[in-house]
Amino acid sequence: MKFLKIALLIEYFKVAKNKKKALLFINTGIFLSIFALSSAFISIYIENKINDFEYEHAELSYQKNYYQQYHALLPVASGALNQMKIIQKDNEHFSTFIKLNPFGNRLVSKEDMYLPIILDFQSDKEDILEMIEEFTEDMDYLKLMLESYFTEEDKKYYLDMFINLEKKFLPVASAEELKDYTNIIYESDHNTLIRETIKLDSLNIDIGKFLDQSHKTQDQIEEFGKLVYFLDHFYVVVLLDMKSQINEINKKITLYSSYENKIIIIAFLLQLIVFIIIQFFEVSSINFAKSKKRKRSK
Amino acid sequence: MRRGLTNNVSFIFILIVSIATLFSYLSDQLAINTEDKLRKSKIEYENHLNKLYKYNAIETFILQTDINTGINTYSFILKRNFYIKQLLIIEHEKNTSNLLKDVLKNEKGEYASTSSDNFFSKKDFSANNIKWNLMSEVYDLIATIEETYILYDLFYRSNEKDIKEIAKQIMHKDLFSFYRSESQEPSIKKLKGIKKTKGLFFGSGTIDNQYDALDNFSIDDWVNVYRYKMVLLKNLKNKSEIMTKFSDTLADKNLILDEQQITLFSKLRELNGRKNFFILFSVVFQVLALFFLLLLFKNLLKTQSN
Repeated sequence: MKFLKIALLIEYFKVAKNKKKALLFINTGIFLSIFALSSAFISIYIENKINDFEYEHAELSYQKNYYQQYHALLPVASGALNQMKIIQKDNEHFSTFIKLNPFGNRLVSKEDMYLPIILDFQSDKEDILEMIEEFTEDMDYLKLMLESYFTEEDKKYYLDMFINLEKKFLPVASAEELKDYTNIIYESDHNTLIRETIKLDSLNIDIGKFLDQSHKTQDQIEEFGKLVYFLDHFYVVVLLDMKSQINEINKKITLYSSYENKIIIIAFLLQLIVFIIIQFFEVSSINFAKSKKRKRSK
Repeated sequence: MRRGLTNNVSFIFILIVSIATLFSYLSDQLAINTEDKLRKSKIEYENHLNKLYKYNAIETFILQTDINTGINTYSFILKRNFYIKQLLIIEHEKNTSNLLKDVLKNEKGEYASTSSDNFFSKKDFSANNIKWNLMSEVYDLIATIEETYILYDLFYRSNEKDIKEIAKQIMHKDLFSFYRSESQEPSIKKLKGIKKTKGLFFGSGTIDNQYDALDNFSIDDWVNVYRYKMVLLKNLKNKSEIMTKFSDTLADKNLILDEQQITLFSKLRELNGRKNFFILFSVVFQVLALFFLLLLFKNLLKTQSN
């Protein structure tokens, strides 16, 4: 099957009156094909740029979601920490009050009052220490990060906090002691409990190792609260930064989309001018050749 | 030359047109092929993201449950000895000599006055209140564990496949069922008088059993109730530790998934760039074919004019 018969086309071109028309069509075709070529290059260049921005946007959005998810857990952790502190304080106040009478005094021992907080916090400290290590293993990076995200005042405050943080979380009780405390809390039997109700060493809550370890633990909880506050502050600033970066990318995408249309229109206009000029010269040259032929034939 | 293609330029143009058409077709096919790969990669990436989001949701659930369990049990732990010590002191008053003999045998140290006579106008009535409080505390603890059990059961059933995939050996379906009456948990099973103690909290006659216990339970029986409470708390602590361990494994898996996500994302980006490149080439070669065809016509026109 033949779509195009060259011989017929040549015959068509041989007819003089068709030449001018054919030339106009061919030149228009050439003009349009050049325009199509340039538009394709412009489009592909801009589309590639936009594509890059879109992927950057997707990557940032993913990271933002990731950070948001962890940020959402902070109030839960912070709330739990506060609740724990309140429960502990309430219990201490209540115990101190009921210990004012002889019967109440025998009800609450040092073990009852101080061991739970020591065991609860000291057993779960690994994650906190890991987190501190992650932040402090490269102090230069930490400084750079604090400089980028925080004000001078906050930067100084957080830097001081991180420099001394590891020392503040030194173990309060040994692993052996923690094992003993677990046994005292969960495995006390009849005799142990009675002993606690009468032994003065257990009943005097104002002195001793447990009191000291409990105070140190409560200090560490306070410090952990500061760390949680820092993380909250950090996530807020990082998320804001990411939000502004995403907005910037959105603006760039809109800008480049508008550039694409504008550049194509400008290219079209420029090529149209070139086409008109070429067309003018070619038609003029045909007319000139025709008149020359006519003169010769006369 | 028979058909009027009188010069080599026309032949060159025809050759270029045919080559450009061929390349256009080739680029078209490559673009289709890349699009196919891109579609598959997108599906793979979406599935990967879904997995990542699901794992993150599991991690969040576990962390929140862990935190809540910790807080809920903390007040139980702080008050753990409050009622049993009250009962023991009262009992101590009744049987001072025997108890002291047993407890303080071969021990040195100072001891407080053991008299509590002035504090109870009706000692038996007060003791019954304390016993109620002790039972009520255990009942509250069972209710707290049950809440965790229900939440966990629902969570486990809806994420069973993923949990098994993450760490089958760490977490299982019956993690929080240790409190249930039919549970075969060894630490509970081996407790002294466990059948009697469970009768206060499980089964049809619990209320009658509780009233009966007020009159007929010995101090040892009440210590058994206390021990039951402490074993429940210890189990809850152990299960909480299992969840933390699972959460750590999950965090490690999430790190690997994150790295894979970056690789998949780069692959997607590269494929998309390649697809655009092939589309551009296809269009460019099509237009070039057309362009040279037009140049051929123009050449033919010129040839005919001459």
